Amino acid sequence: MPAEPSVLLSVPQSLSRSRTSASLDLLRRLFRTRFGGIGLIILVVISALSAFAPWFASNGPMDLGSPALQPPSWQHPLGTDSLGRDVRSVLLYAGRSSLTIGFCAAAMAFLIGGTIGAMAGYFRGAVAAVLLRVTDLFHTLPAIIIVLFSVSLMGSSFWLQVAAVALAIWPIEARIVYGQFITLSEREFVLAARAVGLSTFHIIFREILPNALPTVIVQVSLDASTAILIEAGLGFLGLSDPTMPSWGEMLNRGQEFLELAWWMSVFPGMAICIAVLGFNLFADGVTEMFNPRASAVAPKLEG
Amino acid sequence: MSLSPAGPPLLSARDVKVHLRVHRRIVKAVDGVDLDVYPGQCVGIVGESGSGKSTLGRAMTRLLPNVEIAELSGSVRFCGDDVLAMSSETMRALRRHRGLSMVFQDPLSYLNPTLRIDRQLAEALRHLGDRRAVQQKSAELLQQVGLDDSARILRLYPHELSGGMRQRVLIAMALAPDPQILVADEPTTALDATVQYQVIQTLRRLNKERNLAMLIITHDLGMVAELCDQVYVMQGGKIVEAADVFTLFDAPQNAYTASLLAAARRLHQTKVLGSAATP
Amino acid sequence: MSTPILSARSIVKSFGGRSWFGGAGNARRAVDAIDLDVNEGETLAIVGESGSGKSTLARMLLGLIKPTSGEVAYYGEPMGAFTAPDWATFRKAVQPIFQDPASSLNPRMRVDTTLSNVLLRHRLATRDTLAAEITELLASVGLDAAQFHDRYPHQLSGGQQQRIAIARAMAVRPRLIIADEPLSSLDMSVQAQILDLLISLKSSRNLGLVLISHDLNVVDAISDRVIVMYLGKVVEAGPTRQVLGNPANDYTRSLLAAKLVADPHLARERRLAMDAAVASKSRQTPTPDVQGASQ
Repeated sequence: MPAEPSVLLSVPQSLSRSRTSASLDLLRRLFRTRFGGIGLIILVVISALSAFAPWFASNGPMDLGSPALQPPSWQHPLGTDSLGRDVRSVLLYAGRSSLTIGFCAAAMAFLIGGTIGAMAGYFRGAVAAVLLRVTDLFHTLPAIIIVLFSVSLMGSSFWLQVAAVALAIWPIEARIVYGQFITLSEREFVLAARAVGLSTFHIIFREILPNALPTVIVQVSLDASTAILIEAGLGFLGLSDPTMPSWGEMLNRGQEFLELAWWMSVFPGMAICIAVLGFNLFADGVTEMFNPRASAVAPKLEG
Repeated sequence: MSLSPAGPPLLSARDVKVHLRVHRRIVKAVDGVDLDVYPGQCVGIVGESGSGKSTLGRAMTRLLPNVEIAELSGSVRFCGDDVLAMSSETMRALRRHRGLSMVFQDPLSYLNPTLRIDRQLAEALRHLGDRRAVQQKSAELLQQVGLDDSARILRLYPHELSGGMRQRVLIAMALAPDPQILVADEPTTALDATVQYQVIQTLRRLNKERNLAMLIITHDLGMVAELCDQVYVMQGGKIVEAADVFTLFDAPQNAYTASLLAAARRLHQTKVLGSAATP
Repeated sequence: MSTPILSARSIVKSFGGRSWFGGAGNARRAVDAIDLDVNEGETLAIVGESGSGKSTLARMLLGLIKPTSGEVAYYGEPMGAFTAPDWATFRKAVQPIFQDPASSLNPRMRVDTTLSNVLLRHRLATRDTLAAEITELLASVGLDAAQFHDRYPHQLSGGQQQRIAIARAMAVRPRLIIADEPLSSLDMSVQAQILDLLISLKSSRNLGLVLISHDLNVVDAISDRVIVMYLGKVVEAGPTRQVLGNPANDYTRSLLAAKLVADPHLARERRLAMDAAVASKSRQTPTPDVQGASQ
């Protein structure tokens, strides 16, 4: 693996020691990347806004009291929709389900895909052959097909949506984790751990996995943005849980009124874009942190 | 061997400083270095990791990697012109013809894995223009570095060559622009002992037969003893001792130099075993 | 004559031999039918260049990979027949040290965590005695625990990293250490220090040592017996004095001829002698490069 420039020049690294200052150090490094800090801020802000929706919304998501199809005004900064709901309020509450589905689906994909990838990468041989073929099978089926299939079979309550999306994206996670485990299990500190008789459990979870984390974090982040997009697609097609508002569902509702009430579609659309942007920038930032050659931070001196 | 050199130095560094910014701290990688390389001379810069020798070599050839530079000062005069101050075009022209060439440590990283050797050499020989001239010169260059089977080697990809051959190809590419000085950073560290010895002898032959000046950057005192006429010892960004090779090994003035020599002698048995001078 | 700690009989390791349609395919023998014995307290050096198969051999001796054929035995017990308790015993008795100290330590683990994992796994310390054991272990490799115990590998120099790797190996009080090029990645002055450390540990604990190295100087300094490997086979073996002083094999001779010495006078003498020899005999020196081009 190519060395960091400072390693090439044998320059000493930072000296922060304890666990808390090591985390702060990581945060500092994230903010030093071009956009990683911005990505993190975006995610924190939209998560906070959604989580604390009651504080920021003027009405509940189901309050139908206001006049319908009003353009943005002081009273309703984002307008009202066809049912007379305040768009801003619905947006915030919808954010809860969209973001939660995104996070949960990514986490579930990591659990399924990560386990499969780790086992294939560490144990190799026949185990790997079988697991990889299963992974390939799911990988070749388009995400939309899998999701539509599951939802039409099993319905669209919250957890079923999460499971459907996770089912669509776990193969990517599996491949990434597999690749990491293949390379890391050849590293000498893993050989040393085997030679000293440490248990397989310890080797996988305490030795290899922490070193695979940067790559995994990036992938989970990207998976979350994919999950949000898939969920938006489900909502747009009218297949999401009707009892919970979501950004996709708002887009669905706004479709009919595209000419009359553009604010019903534009704002949820923007919300989705911002969320996806946040995850992607964060992922880029983490990549940059651990792979400095991938960026050109300082001016080159090459003549 | 070392005679007092006549005429002006080919490459002359004065008070070179390279200060890098790493995680909010300033690291003085190179802190005021003076250095001279005369035509036809082989100069060695010896130091351990962290001494700044690699940074110095890269600063002198303007090939520093992507790190934040807090300060880059001093002068590096090549035939009178300051390399650090000249424009990019002038530097590029220098690299292409009769200037400085650099050879790095890990040949696999510096050769394009998707191109055959003949294509890569042709890149370096673009200034010749004519295809036949390029082919002829390529074969010639490979022979100069001891790769006699040049026709076969030109058709190979880098991964099909052994480490020693790759390193020699890199040297051949560095020789293509007919440089006046070759700067080599740990040119044999990644190689096996027998191959290392051959590459060192190749470098020596190029130095003596073609009068090609060399600046060898290494941590290996054995290589310095084999190859160099003049030696600079570097520690913590500064030159702590400079002498001709015999004086340095026989009568080091500086305590750090003495400790390096002691360590080398601890490892190297200096009796040359009887059957060594064969086959 | 007591049983050797480790003995290998006709071990072979092939790579890339399997093919879905049967047949041997393109099998390459990294290790080609090697016999060797390592006795208690003895230092055996395995000399070879890249492609000689020495690292593969080391991994088979450590039980990290299985031989394609042949058997490695620990005090006469074949590894193929080991039960779980046998492995536990073996793992405490034979430990590795690798070439690149940076990569032989987990980059995300502190020094004390690395050592405590080992100590706790083999019940060599309890939670209460852990700190004291770690302090002693670090002291035995020349490091001050107060300063180093909470460092991460990237905060250590190459020499310090290698000392930690040695401390980890020594933690289980092994009888035999298998060191694969332990000095090659280190600076020269640090090499001398680590070499001295290995020598002192060896004598104070009656440790056996299998030292794999391409550096004949180091081999000469520390080993009792030598085997020379080339392309997976043993080409010469015997007591160090004899093999290095009076080599019988051409390959061994070429390795000796390539040895660099830190003495410009000797270097010059040797060059003059070689030039004279070449001039008078006008014989071509075979270059290993050309032979090894297909690797």
